[in-house]
Amino acid sequence: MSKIGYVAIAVVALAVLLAVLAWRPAAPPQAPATPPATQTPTTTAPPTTSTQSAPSKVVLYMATTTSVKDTGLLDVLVPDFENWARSRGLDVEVRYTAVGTGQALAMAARGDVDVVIVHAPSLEAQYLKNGTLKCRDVVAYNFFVVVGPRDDPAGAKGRNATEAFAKIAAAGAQGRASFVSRGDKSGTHLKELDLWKAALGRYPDPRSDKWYVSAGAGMGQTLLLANQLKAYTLTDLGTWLRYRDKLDALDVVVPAAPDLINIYSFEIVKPSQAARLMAQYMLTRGQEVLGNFTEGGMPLFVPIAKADPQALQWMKNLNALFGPSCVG
Amino acid sequence: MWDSELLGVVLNSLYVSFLPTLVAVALGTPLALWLYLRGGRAAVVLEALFNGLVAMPTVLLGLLLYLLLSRSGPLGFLNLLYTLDAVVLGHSLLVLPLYLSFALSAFRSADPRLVEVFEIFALGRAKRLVILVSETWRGLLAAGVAAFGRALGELGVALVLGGDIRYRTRVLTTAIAHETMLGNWDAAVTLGVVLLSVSFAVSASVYALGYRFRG
Repeated sequence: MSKIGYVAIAVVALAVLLAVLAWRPAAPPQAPATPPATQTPTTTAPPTTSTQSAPSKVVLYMATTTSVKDTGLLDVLVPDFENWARSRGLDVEVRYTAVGTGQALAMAARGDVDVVIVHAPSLEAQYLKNGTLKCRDVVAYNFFVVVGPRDDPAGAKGRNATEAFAKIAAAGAQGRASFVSRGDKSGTHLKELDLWKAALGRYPDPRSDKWYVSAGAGMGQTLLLANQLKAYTLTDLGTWLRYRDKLDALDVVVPAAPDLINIYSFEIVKPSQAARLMAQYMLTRGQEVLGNFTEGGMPLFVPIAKADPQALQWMKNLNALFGPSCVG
Repeated sequence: MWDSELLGVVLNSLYVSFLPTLVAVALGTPLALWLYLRGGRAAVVLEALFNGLVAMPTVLLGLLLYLLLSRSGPLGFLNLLYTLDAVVLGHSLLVLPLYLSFALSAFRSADPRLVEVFEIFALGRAKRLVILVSETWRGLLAAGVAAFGRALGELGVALVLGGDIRYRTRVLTTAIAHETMLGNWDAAVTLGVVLLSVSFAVSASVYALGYRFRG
């Protein structure tokens, strides 16, 4: 091949590069969005509007917790909300990230996100107090469960969560049991810490308490680790149901109990029309989406609109219903 | 998720690996040439720096760029975070040092008398680039493939800067992580096979091209 050929190749490559770079600003929302937009699992098909140059497009930043994303809920909820908002004349693009509740609220405090969906009422109260969060609506709940080895070496079965935790710590100190913690400042981890505080009056220390393993992992990984170690752990019901067939060494030790209620709320950090619209969605149409979201036939979340009166009472007893509403 | 959505994920993956590769080739080739021809202490220091950056942990790069691109960060006004373009930016920075190192060794593997020829005929920069590239282009191609592979199989940057948003910023690696978290290991493994197939297909076609035009 002649040198002219190489030069020609180089020129063509450069031309392609320049063309791609010039075409970029318009392309990204289009190219990746177009192929999948033709099919959506939700009930409503998205209107295939080619928003080539829509100046009215609003970007809404959201931080949520891993348990919301790892259940697959966001994959359904966000596209549905965007369609719903579009039918009300607002073109919103929700950009979300799924992190631990602690990190989500830290991102809110930095002003990096507009809205959050989190599940740690005690921490939310602090951020509501310091003004990071402007308003709060409880949108759904479910239950944590304590799971552990089938033979229950700590004798924790048949008790409430706080008593079970005390039993596990006592057995752990004698080397008969161990506990795997998420250790990632997630809502589940914070709930676990609340329970240790109630049971022991202190937090276990992964360095000196040999029976306490801090995994620093997601819920699924933590369950797998607990299964390997034949240890106890605290899990949300959804992940437990999804992983149950892989966890042959584990069984439920403490089922849904008043002190194991897991409360999800929607909060606005930076008020805007889009944020308020999302709040409205979460309490209306979003409630149906939440209620219809199942795993193997089992609903993963109870929408607050269909809350069991007893569960509502438990939430009141925990002082978990607080803050000004984001709608109305 | 096995039809148009999978296609979208694959396209997203190609987008965030092909563009950064182009950027790395466009910037890295002249830079490597400059370092090669210049020599001296400064060039050695720069080369050592770039070789060190090859081992840059992807989550660290992702975190640094997150701090830059987040709304409270200095580049927040660009509104790039959680878009594929943010991932393209991150991957470009990730693969540039890798490409540069490979390109530099490709140049080194060229006949050292070339440099003498350059001096004797007092050739201009453009001419030197053309001759060197025509002598070492297969090594450069390998460097490009390596850069592409690194961007394609990378998770940290894609997750932190892209956010794994369905239909928008989900790429093959983040989809694998997502399905693993969901406990859908079959789906995760299948996606892994798709990822490997894409990687092999690209590598094979590039090398086939190199074989065909071996001159």
